[in-house]
Amino acid sequence: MLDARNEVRDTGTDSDRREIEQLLGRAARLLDAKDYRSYIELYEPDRGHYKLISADNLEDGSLLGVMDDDVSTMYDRSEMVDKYWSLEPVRLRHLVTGIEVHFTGDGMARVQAAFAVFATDTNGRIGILATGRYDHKVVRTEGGWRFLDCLAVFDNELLTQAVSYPI
Amino acid sequence: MEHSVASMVSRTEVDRNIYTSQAVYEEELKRIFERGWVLVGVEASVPSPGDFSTHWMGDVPVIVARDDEGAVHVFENSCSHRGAKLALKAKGNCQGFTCIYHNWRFALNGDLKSVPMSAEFSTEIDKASRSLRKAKVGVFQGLVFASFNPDVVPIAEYLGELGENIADIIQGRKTILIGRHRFEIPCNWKIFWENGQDAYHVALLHKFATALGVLQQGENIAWENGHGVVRTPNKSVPPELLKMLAAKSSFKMQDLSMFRSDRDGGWNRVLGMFPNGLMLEQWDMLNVRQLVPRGPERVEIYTYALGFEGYTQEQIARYARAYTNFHGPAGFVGRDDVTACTAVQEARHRDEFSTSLMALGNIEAEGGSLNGEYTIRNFYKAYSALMNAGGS
Repeated sequence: MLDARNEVRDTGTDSDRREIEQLLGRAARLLDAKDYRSYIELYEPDRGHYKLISADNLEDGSLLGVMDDDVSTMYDRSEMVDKYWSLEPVRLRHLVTGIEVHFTGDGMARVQAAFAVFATDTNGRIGILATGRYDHKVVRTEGGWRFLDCLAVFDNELLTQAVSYPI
Repeated sequence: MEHSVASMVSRTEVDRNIYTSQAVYEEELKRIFERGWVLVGVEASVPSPGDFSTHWMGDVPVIVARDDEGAVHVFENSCSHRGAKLALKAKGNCQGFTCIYHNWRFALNGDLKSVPMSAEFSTEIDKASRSLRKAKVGVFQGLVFASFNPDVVPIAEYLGELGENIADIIQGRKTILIGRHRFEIPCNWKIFWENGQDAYHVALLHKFATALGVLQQGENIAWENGHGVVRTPNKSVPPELLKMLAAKSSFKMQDLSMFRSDRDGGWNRVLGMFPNGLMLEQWDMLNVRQLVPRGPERVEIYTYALGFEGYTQEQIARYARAYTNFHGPAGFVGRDDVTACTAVQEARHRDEFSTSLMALGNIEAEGGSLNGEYTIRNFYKAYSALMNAGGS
């Protein structure tokens, strides 16, 4: 939709904004619950993508992430967690804050937020798994807003705990 | 030392105190990390004049820097005046290093260049003797080795057959850094090195690969100076065959892209570089791992994903993704190894009766089938020789 200056305007509504914020909250809740498959269903099934990368690599222009998954890889990873991996964190806790939504037209939006993820290990000790920033693209589908291209950039180049789930 | 290494390491067994003893750890820093060659990084981290990167040799912080003539230098990251850290950032580009405390200035080769108010010192400052502590540097096929021992043998001689294998992989090509990972594991550094040379666990821990049927037979070979290799023939598996394997297996893997290889023939291999390096060439993925001990019960791993000059953007993107999801810290294989090493260390305790067994394969031979522990026994043979050598 163009305004008088023929520029693309933010075409989202308050309802869209709330739904996108809920999407972020739902993703965090599902990851904390380790409900990986339900988390994957939050993605656009044909084009959905998730990348987890350190701020250092991103700032250096490197493509090297810690996870680089399309939807099929995510399903494979969820199978790995269910069947083959062990000693994963007992509990995860995502804190997501400072959510900003910018509609970019064509039924899409960019959503950014800060995150902190805590992990409790099998000895009952809690530690910070990662802090960082989300920079996601979301798309409106028939089923509601879905993740299209998710980027999670973590501040701590040095990972001190194993990473099993998307952050 | 409370535990003498001579009593802790036999041909096929290792006293588990070797993974927890502070005294053993401090001897390792003196005898292994100060006196021999140590992997400190890769040339691709410092590609241009003025580039520097900070690293560690044992517990000594060092700077790896490239000077204006293109030579690579390694020296202590500690001002020769009062010991303040010189390079405070992990990497960068500069014309020299100036201490923030009293502004003593050092060149890219570690030489002391200037001292503010030098005339006011009671004795003249001898710049040569107050230059930074320099290591002997051996750059070999893009890998940077360093030693604080000025009498250490030349790097090519030290690497021997390992060097021939590194050369076979790199083939004199200029390496580029696709990216770097750093992760810390709560385990002794030797446990992670063992894991890199332990093929016995591959079919049993990395169950998804077994389910998929991509594992092959191979060899485990020990070389001089504690080095070795575990390797399998590299055969590019056609995508259609991979899909068929996945469809038939108990793990119906959907994304098989990490198994694709442009490289056909040769080997998939993990080179064990004594004391603190591993080099993994697997299909199109090439990475170098530098182990930095952080006390007896923690190790920091620097992993460098490498490519070669001339790679297209498409190749870099594809190889980066394959490495990320296979060998990376959350990779389908990498994640398992972190778990196993953590579990090994977590059960450690002071017990004079507990030993770890390394007896797979013919103990009289220097190599054999893939699952043999030849290279692990060979590591401890070199380790014992250094730890039990005369003098302190």
